[in-house]
Amino acid sequence: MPELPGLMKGLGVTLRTMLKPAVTTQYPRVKEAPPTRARGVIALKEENCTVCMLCARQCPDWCIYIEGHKTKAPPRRPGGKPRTVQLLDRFDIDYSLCMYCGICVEVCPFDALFWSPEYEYSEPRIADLLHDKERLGEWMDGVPEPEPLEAGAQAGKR
Amino acid sequence: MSSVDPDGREEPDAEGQAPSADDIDDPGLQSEIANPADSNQPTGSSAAPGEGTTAADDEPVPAPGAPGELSSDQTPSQGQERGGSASPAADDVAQVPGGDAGSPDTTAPAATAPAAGAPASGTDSAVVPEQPPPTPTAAVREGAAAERSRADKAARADEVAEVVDSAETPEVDEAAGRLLDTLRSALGDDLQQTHVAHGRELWARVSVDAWRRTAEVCRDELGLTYFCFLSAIDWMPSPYGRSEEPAAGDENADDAEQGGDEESPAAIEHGYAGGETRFQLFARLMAPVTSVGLILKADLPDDDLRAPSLVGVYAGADWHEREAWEMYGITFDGHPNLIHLYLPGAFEGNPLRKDFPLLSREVKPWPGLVDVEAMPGEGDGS
Amino acid sequence: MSAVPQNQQRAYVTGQAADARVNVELETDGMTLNIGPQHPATHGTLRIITRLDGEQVISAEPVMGYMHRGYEKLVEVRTYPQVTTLINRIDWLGSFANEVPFILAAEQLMEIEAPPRAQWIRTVLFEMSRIANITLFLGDMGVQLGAITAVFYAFRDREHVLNQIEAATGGRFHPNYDRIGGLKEDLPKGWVAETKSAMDKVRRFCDEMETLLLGNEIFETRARGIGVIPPEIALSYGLSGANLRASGVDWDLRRDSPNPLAWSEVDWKVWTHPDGDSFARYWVRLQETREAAHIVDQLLDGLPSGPIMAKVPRIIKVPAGEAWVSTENPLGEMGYYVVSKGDLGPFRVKIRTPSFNNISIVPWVMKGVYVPDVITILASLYFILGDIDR
Repeated sequence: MPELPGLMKGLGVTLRTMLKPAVTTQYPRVKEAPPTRARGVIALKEENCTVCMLCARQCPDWCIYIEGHKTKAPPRRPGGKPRTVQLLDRFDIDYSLCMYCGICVEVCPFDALFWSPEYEYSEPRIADLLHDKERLGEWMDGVPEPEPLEAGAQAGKR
Repeated sequence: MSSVDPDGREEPDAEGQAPSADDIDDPGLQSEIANPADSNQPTGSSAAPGEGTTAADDEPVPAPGAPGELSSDQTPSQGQERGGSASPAADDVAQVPGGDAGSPDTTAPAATAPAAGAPASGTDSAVVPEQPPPTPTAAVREGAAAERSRADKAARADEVAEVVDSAETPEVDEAAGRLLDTLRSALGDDLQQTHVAHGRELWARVSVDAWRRTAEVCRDELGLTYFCFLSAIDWMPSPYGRSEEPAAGDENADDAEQGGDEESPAAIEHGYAGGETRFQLFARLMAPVTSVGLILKADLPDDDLRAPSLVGVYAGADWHEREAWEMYGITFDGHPNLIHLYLPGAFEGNPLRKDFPLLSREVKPWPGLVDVEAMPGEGDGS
Repeated sequence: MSAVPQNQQRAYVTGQAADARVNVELETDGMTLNIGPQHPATHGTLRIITRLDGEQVISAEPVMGYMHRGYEKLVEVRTYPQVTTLINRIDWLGSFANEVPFILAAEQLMEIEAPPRAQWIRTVLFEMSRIANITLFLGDMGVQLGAITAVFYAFRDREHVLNQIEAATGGRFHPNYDRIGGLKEDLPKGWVAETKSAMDKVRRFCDEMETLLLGNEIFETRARGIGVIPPEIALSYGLSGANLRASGVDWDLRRDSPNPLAWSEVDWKVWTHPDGDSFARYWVRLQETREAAHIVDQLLDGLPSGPIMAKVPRIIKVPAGEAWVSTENPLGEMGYYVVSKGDLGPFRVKIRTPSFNNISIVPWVMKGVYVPDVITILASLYFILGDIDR
């Protein structure tokens, strides 16, 4: 009894696959939800930013541009001295240079930068990928809560 | 079809772990080496945000608007190009400086040559009194006798490398020790310095004249039949740093990295197994299955970047040498086809040399400079 | 090294004979055939200039550099934490595996060891990136030989693995998840169970590929005895990974070189094949994919609990010294030679990529083969352009 040719066996695999439903997501009409941790776009919480420049300094690609000025703010307690605070004038991220490494989000000591899984912000012109602080602020809406960790992880740690 | 022998796997692991504790890199020595580098740290990220404010307030750098359009491929017209157009006549000239540089090796240790093989088994105590002052208690590693005449010379020029290398004898893995012994007896004086880390990782510096012979010894006698890589290193500190300091000419330049040591050749610090010249060739050869490996280094005289090709010994060296040729301008004698590998044919300069600027970093100001406008009350010069 | 089997010997001798004949009959005008840089078989932009004598290749010379990004230079102006984001992009199909040897080299210089849980998770992701990488090869080799179906299955099943990598690290292709001293963050809840089901899918995929391609007569005829590389030649060219194991060299750095990752904790097997031809290289990679799924399963079962980060100074300065660390990446031996001068960034990093050496054997192995076999051999050597050009 000759063995079934390998070609026929292979066709059996394709036949079985043919009977299964398709796995393709029809993108513009159907959207796939990215995972919570997906590094889609960097969102800025402007009121937390103190113009400390740490993100701009640590950026491997030099794609964050920050400008700010100092100003007086009312004292924290009544009767105290007015505080000097730094206000943000400009916070631009050039997404045509950004490598999505997330170093800026990690080094930010004041929790002003977050990852949002949002990914639909492509532009026909490369210069339009320079996004300012208003645009970065809009993405704050999409920032998810951090998800719980797997069993065995040490609690409390990031 | 072979399977993993569980016992065979356990053993090398256990061996590899044990000696890592008494590693040659004694923290004391490390800090000594690290100190000179510490003194001219760029303020980069280590500066606290507050401190940085004053530094840059003097001259606010205009905020960079356009993203950098230039890529590193765009070449400055640099006068560095060498080697690519080396005339055949240079070959004859090469003999003179080559022999010149090698003369200390061939003449000085001639008397000590017999001793080179003798202390190989680890009789270190005999040579302790002759140790140079920086490490009075340190035992000399095996084979130091052959190196000492050289090391004495090197001690003055390059103390740091000397200290590292005459440090306490580390526990050397059996296979690694055997390998070193064979190499020593086969090469004699051409083996200039060795270094062992973690008990099993070997560095050996040979004279460039013996470069090819060393490779043959490694392949035929030591069983290092696997060619891992070949490359070069430029030990000169980069005059550009990480380009994060204020530009040269700025009044802060002195505080940043424009310290005196950069211009002077004394600032060149070599790594393991020492060195004497700016450019060093290095390659790694390995024995398959046992994973015992060796990193070979060779000094290249500054005025004659030329080395014998290894293509005849390890066929895989071909492309690696082409890369080293275009990136560093090192000519490999006997290479069959020394043409550009990555760069376009008309490219000028040797990009991996430290004095080749990375243009994408040079044309664009660092956006990390603190650029906060002062309050009306605060003076500009404060 | 094992004895050379009959069919391999024959192919080898034929190749040699063709070589000799070409030398004798060189009077006829040859033809130059340019393959690439945009040919689908070149996985990017590799260009091969072949000189033909009729249907036979006299010489093949790869031309590279279309994707040279100069990482060795770029790394010199970056700090250690910034480097991992660059080296992710060397072998973009198995990016996580690129980070590991560099991080290990930096840890070795700093004399830090990541906690066990971090090492286990690293190993899991390492093997998953191996699966993500080789899965594509398993399908792609089919395309090169005319079987288009396989690559669709490969893309379909690779997604499951990539989804899991993304869920843990945040990046599908560029995880940037390794840190000096540990990992960025711990795994999300439910990840272990989902990964296990993804591994089941990988195993099913391997079975499918075995039925589709390995048993296929056309595939066998086109791959067997084509591009035979004897072990000693492979070693002198520095071939590594599955290409070397397909030539019968039983060498795997995961088993044979000391490293802090968790491979020694689980039970697995190094697969070799004595033939050294294109079929052997496919066969070995298929077995390795299965084995990787097996390793991942075992590691997830025994995942230790605890911290994922060792004590590391906030500003990372690596003490002066030199370190060479290499690991068995999906494509072969990938290593970093890190020279530090006690600075915030490395002084010099030599990146030894497997594809560079693997593809440097092309001029040797393609002498005397027929034109369609050029594609077979290229596909079976399996390279990633970013891994050649760096």
